[in-house]
Amino acid sequence: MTPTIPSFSGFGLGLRREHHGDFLSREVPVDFIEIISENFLAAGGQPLRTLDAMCERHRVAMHGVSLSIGAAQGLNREYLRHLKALADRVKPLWVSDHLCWTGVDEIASHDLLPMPYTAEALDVVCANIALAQDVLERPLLFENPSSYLAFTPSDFTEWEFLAQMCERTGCYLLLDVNNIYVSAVNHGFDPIAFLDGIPVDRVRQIHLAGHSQGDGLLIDTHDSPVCEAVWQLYARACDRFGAAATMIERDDAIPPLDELLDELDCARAVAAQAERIAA
Amino acid sequence: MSLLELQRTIRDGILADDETVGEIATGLAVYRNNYRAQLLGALQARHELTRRWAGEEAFDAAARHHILSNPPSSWSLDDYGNGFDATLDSLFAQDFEVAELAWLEWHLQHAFGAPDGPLLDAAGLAAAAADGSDWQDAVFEPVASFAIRKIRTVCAPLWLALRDGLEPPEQLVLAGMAGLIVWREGLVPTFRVVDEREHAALVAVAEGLDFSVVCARQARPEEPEAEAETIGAMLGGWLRDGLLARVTFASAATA
Repeated sequence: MTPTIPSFSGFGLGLRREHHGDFLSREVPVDFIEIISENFLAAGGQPLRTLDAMCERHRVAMHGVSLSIGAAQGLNREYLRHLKALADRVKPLWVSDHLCWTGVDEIASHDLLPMPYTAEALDVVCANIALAQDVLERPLLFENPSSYLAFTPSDFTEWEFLAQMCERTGCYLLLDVNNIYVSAVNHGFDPIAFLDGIPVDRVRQIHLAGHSQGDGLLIDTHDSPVCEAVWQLYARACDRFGAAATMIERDDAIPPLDELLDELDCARAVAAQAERIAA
Repeated sequence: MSLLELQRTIRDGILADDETVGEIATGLAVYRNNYRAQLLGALQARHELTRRWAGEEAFDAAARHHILSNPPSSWSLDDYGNGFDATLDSLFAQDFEVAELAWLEWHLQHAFGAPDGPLLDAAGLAAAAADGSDWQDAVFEPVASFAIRKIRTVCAPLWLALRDGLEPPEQLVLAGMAGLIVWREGLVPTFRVVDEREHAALVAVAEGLDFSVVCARQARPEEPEAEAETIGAMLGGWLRDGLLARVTFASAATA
């Protein structure tokens, strides 16, 4: 039987170095925190002690950026070994990464590069997920990244690809509502159709973040508050997916922690409103 | 086009320099900008003092040059910048201290989060050698945070002055060559300047050579007693400072 990840509803923040002191010195009203796995892979010294202290105080989700699940050349076994060791140490709620690739021929992009939604890509991704889940001994979550390139011809829409991926591998999804919005604007699809195409029982986490207007494209910059259009889409997501764990993600222009906690309260209010309407 | 061909095509578009890439799709340009910005940001973040010393414009130009010719291979962005000192060495050929400062700054930060591991102390060494193993066969392994390079300048006092907002040393170039080592003592990254002889010995240790070679690099045939005393003092210092992780004896291993 495929292992499952129990539902966990709560509101959290991505842990960033700027806020380590806050998280260690006072009570922070969050239900979970999300660490960037790569910040602690193969690490020792103070960073590992800080991580251990965080794990004692908070429930932790691990979120990676370098698994490269879409890599045609397969996964890096050494990376997987380190990820497994970290997961064994952290005992996280779950381990997530992105539906993307981050390197080829041993050159790392350090950016989430886009997948074509083809049958070949689906086969590659599913084989890689099967290996990763086998090594890590747990089902994984995969996030939809923002994208700035579309490929033709495609065999699937992005949401069809994600749904197929879940069905074939038993993996789960981390829905980034901001990324849905950014990609929808960039590629001209309906974000509601995206939400409606995602299997309800596979969503375990939701990301919320800000973006910027680039040269003819929206860019997923994570450097500003969540915009109104994304809040509206989040309300629709709450309506469809119910109580998935929700998190504010900020990676640049990081404000004081209390500012992010205020934004997290907005997420709580939107989710509560969606719950009332559903009831 | 297969998935692998597509990924190599995108990779090539991202890595290409402005002159060879020509007009590219707007979307690909976003990924290329992201890639460059990530690496530039990583170099800037890990070399704040070097950037201040070299000048932001000159540093950023050197960083962009490095990024074009040194794509990253590690999954960790924190690893990017290991070897940047070689680029700086060639670009700041008259200002040796820039590369040495960058090396020191990068390795101190690397040492901060380097993997934990065993630490060899005098008691541990005595226990390991208790079976009468031949010292000439001893192979010492430095701790994971350990790094070493040759220096020609007072980059260490310069680093301290920049960190503390003090006047930098007036005379930047050393009278002779020396060595600089970085490691982590407990949780604290630290460094020490070593003379040429200790540098040569520690390089031999870092290369995994046995103790007979380490000693040979110190050889002072005219003063054999002084030689033994020097080597003994050095080894004692390495054990006290926590530079060594473990020792193995080739004779014991093959016994």
